[in-house]
Amino acid sequence: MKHSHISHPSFPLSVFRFPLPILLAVLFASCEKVVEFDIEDTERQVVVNALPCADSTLFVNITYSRFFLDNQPFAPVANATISIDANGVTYAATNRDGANYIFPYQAAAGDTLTVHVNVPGHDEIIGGTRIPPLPAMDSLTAEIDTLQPITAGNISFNLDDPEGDNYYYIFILERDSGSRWNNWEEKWDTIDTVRHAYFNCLNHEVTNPEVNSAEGFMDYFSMLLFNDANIDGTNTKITLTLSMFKDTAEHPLMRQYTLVVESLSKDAHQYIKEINAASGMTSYFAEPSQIYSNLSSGLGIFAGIARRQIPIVFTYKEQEPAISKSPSRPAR
Amino acid sequence: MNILSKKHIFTILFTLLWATSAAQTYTISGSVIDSVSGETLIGAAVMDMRSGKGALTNDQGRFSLTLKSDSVRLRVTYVGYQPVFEDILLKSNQKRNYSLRSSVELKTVVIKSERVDNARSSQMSAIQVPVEQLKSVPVLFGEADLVKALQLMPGVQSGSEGNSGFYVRGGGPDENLFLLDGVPLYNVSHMGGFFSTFNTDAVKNVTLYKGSFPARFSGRLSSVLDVTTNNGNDKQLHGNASIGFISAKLNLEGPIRSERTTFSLSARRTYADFLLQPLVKKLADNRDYKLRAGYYFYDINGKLTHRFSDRSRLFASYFMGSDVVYTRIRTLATDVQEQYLDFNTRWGNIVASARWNYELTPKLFMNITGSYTRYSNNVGVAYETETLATEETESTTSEFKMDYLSLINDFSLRADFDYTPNPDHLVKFGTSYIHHLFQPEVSSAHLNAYSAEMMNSSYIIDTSVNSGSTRAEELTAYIEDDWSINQAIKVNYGLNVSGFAVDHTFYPTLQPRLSGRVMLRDDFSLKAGYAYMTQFMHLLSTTSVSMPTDLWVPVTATIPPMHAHQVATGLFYEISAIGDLSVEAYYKQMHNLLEYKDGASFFGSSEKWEDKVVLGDGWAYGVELMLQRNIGNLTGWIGYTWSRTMRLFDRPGQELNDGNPFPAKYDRRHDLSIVLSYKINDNIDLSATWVYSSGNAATLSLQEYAQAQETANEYADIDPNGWNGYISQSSGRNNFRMPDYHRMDISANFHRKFKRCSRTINVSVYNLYNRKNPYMIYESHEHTWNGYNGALVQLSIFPILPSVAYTLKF
Repeated sequence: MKHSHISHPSFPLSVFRFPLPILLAVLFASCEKVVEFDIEDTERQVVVNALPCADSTLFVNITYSRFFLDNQPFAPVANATISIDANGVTYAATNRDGANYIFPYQAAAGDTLTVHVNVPGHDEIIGGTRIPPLPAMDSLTAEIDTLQPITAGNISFNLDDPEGDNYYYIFILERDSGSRWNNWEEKWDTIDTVRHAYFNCLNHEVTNPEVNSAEGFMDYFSMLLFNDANIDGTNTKITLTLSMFKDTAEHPLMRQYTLVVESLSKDAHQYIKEINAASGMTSYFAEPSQIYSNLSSGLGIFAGIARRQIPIVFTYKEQEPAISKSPSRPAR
Repeated sequence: MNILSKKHIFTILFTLLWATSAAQTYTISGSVIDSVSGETLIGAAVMDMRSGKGALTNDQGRFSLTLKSDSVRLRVTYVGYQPVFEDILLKSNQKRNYSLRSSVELKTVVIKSERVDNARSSQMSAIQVPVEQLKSVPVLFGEADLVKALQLMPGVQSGSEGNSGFYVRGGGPDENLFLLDGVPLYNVSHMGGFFSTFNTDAVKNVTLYKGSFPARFSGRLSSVLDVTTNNGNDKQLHGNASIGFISAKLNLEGPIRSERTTFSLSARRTYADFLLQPLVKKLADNRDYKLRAGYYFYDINGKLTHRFSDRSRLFASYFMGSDVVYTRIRTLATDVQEQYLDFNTRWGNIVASARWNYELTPKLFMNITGSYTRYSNNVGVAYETETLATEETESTTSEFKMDYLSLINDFSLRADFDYTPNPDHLVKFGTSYIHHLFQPEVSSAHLNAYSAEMMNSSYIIDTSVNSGSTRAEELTAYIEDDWSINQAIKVNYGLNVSGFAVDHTFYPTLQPRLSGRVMLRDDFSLKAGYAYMTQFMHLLSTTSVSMPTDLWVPVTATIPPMHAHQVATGLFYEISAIGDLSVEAYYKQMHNLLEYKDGASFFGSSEKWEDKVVLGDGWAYGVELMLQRNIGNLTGWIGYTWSRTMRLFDRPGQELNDGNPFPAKYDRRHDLSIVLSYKINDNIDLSATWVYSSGNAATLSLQEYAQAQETANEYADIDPNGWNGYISQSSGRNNFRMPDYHRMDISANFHRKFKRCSRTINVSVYNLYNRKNPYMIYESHEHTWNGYNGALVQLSIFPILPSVAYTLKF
């Protein structure tokens, strides 16, 4: 495929009025240009993505990959024939909206699944996984520590790790809702966004070495991803500390927090770990990450997870925070 | 290697040594020096013309020639110097010191460039380049650079554009041993690799070994660059001062006590940071925002030489080179609050050594060297907030500092001996001990924060991570013999025994070396060699550019030493009265090579370095051709290399490229360099180089696909079209070839002599035809108003760059 050749000299000619600065600047100036290469446009591959979750209806997303110079969204694969073998029972999927296929099946912890995807013109794609057990956790507390110079919210719980190889993924979703002053338009905006909250974790047995390395600086994370090598078969207290800033009394921001604790299959753990490593790659010079796939003849992932989502609401008063008293519940 | 073969090697070595010391003879020993400066000449030939026996001066300019006959006619020669003849009636051991007069001084012969002994030496895969010729090769910014000139030799590849790192016969940039007066240097680059740390004004002799390594060298897999600095003129004060496009240099040498004690001092500093200040100020200098930034490098070479007697000399050397980047940004946040952001980086070497050279007997020289090497790099970031006092509050200061420090300290003691039992043998043996202290990753943070909530008080946090240091001990012993079996056959055989102790683990190695030549005709020889090399240190580098973040690390209990086997063979032909022609072929196997894992880099990581790397193997093979013209007003060479370099990382859990072989980053099929110098007259000489090489390999992700989305992120802003959350997929490591590289540089030197001094004006042009060579190619992804644009972007640096340098010699 040939692509256009556009040159962008980066240096403004007007500065030639200053001979010495320009002469010196040229020494360090770089020249970037979009270049034309004869690169083989690689054949599109079928991409199968599914993270079957315990107690959730199973969706599988199927798309085509794209050449990196394409200015197109990922094309959905709407004509796939897809089936799941779950503990020896086969289920067929129905296409919901082009790329997404839904199964009349809800995964359960311990289920063994195999997916078969057939797309005309491509080899059959096969992948298998096992749904891990729900993470066992108790003694959840959440309190605001006003004695620290910066108000801190501490979320603690005990993680009861069963025998055998287990993998975990923990993060906190933060929902910002309320109003915020818009300097540009000089008015108050209503906001409602959800993002990963940053937190401290001093449990080095779970933060080293597999935590999201790009964001793991000074024990400050947006997520914890770890295997149980250091906590195998033990009951470990994990404390996550959020930095919380007070807002103005006139327009308080109300933030809601959701603690998400997931058990991962080995495949899911490897996939998420590599995705995080790739997204955190800040060096132009590092070799690109190759993301793990457990599918034959295709790209993507088919790996089981089991999730607990626990809503936690902090108030901004110097007293015990209000915590959802309902018992831990599985994901919807 | 099994026990039986070890026994065989020792038996052969000691039998040969015993046999060689049996004959009754007399020895002529002494030194060969330059008649004007008193500098010792390395590699000068002292030959008895009657018997045809001879010897070369060693690294200290000394020779020892043991002969049977009682009447000899000695001829002493050195490239570029007028030969000296002497008849001696040999009835006892003799001391002789020869002073040779430079041909330039005598205006008789044009300086000849020479490869080590060409067809006659048993050594192959070695290059010796006269420093004067190195200085005449046109280079970037007119800054004469030893390493850049060597990159023009076959078998030696440069990295990316302008880089002073080099890659020898498929080896990595960390597989080269740089010796400055026999002491290893870790970092040989300035300015991100665009210049080397060797100041050519301080350099006397340069030899590069690419293979068939003599047993005295060990510690790196791929090459040894042996650099010897000037001792200093022992008769009168001399020097030169030069000012170029980016740096100024000063070199002084002379006697402290005539013909006893001499000194040599060279210093260089860039001054771009001074010149760029007006530009920096123009960028940001107002009430709210001030920027101060700059970069410079400097190096200092110093050497003291004292001659106690003809038999005893003491050398003390010092080298310090450093690169410094500094940035300070001051922002006026409010009327009462100022914020400062400082970013400072400093990296470089310090080498100090003392060497005692003593002639124990006319046949036995001794060198005792004690040295200290320090390599450090420091990256510091500081953020400071100053709030002025108001009517309600007192002034406060908060600061956050973070430092990253990597250190290597080496203390070493070395003893080397040269034993010349007779002209047919030159035996070298010795031992060394190095104590290494590594602190590869020390990150520390200091927080001193003011808190209104804490009763207007401050609190301080100091923390450091990965601060553990690693100590390692390295022991080496070697013996080698350069043996002329007869007029036609000469071999160099030896054994290097090394051991490295680290983390309660000891890695012993036996490294046999063998090379030899057979004279097929007087001017035509066939050579072959084998070398086994081991390396106990690695350089972790995510880039092709020499960065301060490059990390030298030792082997550990889990990371074993690298080792390599290399075989080479070649034909060498001396073209009478013109120059020489050589063809060499090599094959090299490398094991336990280290690479960063996919996606891993120095930046933004809390992992230990051992968790970021994988181990694998590699192999390289190629053919090198060199045609050199040494005589006449037109001199130069044409070097061509055809090569292939592969890597294989397929060990369980350490796979790269799915465990399949892939080309190394600097795998290049073709490398061609043409270097020509033409002397028009005594006042003007011209030089030109043209280089061409196949494009570097790079990994590009040419395919993208959707990332699996987690439903827990249901509130996250995820684009259903896949603009967010996509994965880039490459078809393999180094799956893409950059465009070919080629460039022409030219230079002219205009010399003029005055009564007490001379001056040279050098005018050079780098990249004469302004070729936009690729420095880096990357995929660009831009969101646009109608979606998304992908593009391949090429970054080129160094367009056509003229430069001028002025040198005054006195």
